[in-house]
Amino acid sequence: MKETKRAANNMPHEDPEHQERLLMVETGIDPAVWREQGHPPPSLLVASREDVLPQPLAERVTSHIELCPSCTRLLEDLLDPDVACPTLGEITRIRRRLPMPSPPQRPWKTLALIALTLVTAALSIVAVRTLSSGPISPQFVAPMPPGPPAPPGLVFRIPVEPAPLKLPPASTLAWRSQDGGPDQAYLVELGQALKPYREGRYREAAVRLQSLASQYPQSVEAPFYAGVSHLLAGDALFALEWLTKKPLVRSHPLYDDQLWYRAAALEQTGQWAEARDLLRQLCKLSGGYQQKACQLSKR
Amino acid sequence: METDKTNRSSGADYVFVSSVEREKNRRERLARLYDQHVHAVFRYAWRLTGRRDLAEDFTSEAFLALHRNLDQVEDARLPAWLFTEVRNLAIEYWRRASREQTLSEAAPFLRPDGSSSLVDLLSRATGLKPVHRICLTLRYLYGMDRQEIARQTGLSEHQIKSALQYGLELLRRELTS
Ligand SMILES: [Zn+2]
Repeated sequence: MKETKRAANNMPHEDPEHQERLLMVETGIDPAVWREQGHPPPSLLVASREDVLPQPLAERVTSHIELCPSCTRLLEDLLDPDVACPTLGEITRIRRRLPMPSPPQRPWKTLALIALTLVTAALSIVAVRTLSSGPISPQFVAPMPPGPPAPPGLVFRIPVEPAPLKLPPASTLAWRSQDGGPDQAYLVELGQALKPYREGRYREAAVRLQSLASQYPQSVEAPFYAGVSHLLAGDALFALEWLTKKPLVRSHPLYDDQLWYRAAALEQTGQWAEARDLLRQLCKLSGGYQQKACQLSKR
Repeated sequence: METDKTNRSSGADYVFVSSVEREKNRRERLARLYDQHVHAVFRYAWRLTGRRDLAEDFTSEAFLALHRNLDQVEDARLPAWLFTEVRNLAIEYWRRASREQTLSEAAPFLRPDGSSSLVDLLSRATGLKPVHRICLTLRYLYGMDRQEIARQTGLSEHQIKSALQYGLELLRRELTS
């Protein structure tokens, strides 16, 4: 008993298991009741939309979907362009199997990128854990017995829409290529990498923009839009990593945007107090986000 | 005689250099076509199989077939040519898989009654993205663990954990508000 209580107290708030407990205690719903047998596997749901399944299998799956709201909803989500998009890992593995020259990136760069990703992920876990035991989120300090729900002042539901495209004019690029002229290649590649973003394929956009950001370490647009793409694809942790990578100066046209999307990523990773601080900061700026930020932070 | 020998030798070098050059050009062309079409081919393979591992396999199979036939396939026929390769692989896969016990008549699918508590809740929690709903459904309706969800979605286990945590948090707020 004592052991269980200690385990519950030590449970970091980012654990889904902890959220399950809170759900049970606060609403009386046990997630186990959602479990149902007899739905076709997700792969069959997806493939049933294309003419590749043999009969009578195709017929059985289709008639199940017609009557099953869970499978209809799941199928819709599985067919979302972002979900269907390959990840960076998948693209890399496929590439390795083909007789092709290696991508232009140098190995140390790749290693550095992986190391950075791991370190940032580790740091964000530490940050979340530290927060969960700090005074700001009392509901996470002692989950059993449960504390009060998330403080109302710290629940914002920051709306996340695609960020407007603000591309640098060639003449104002912060860095120059070796011949001293503006780096046109970057602009061209940025335009290409933003194509899936404009078309709503955010996971693909995130992969392309990340790779561009590592190719042009001084760029600010690539990491920013990579972060926004992750957020729109529902990957708040990765979003936070990319939105924190290049802090912008106040005069930069993307300054307010970066604060806004970082606040949303912080909220989605459970860092409510940090999210609130950014909203307050935005509320003081006379930018496009001022009104929304003031309303949310005063809620 | 001497001149003849020199000519023959430089001719052979020329043939050797041009075949090396030709292979280099082929590989560069393949790399260019890969960058151009890999996302679309993968997405198509995913729609035909619903499995990340197979989408990955079939995409690389299709590009390997393209490499074998590179001289016969013009750029204008892409990505349709690659799609056909993937489609043939998928049809063959499902033909074999449908004979297996798990997909046969022996395991009939549920006759749903048209209601579901989880799906009702998911549609009420407006802050959820497709990726959150997928993780929640696979976890709680299908009872999959994180590893299985990772295989199904291509997400890392860490991302899944974060999606489940966020999803449950929103569901809880929805139910308690
Ligand atoms: Zn179903």
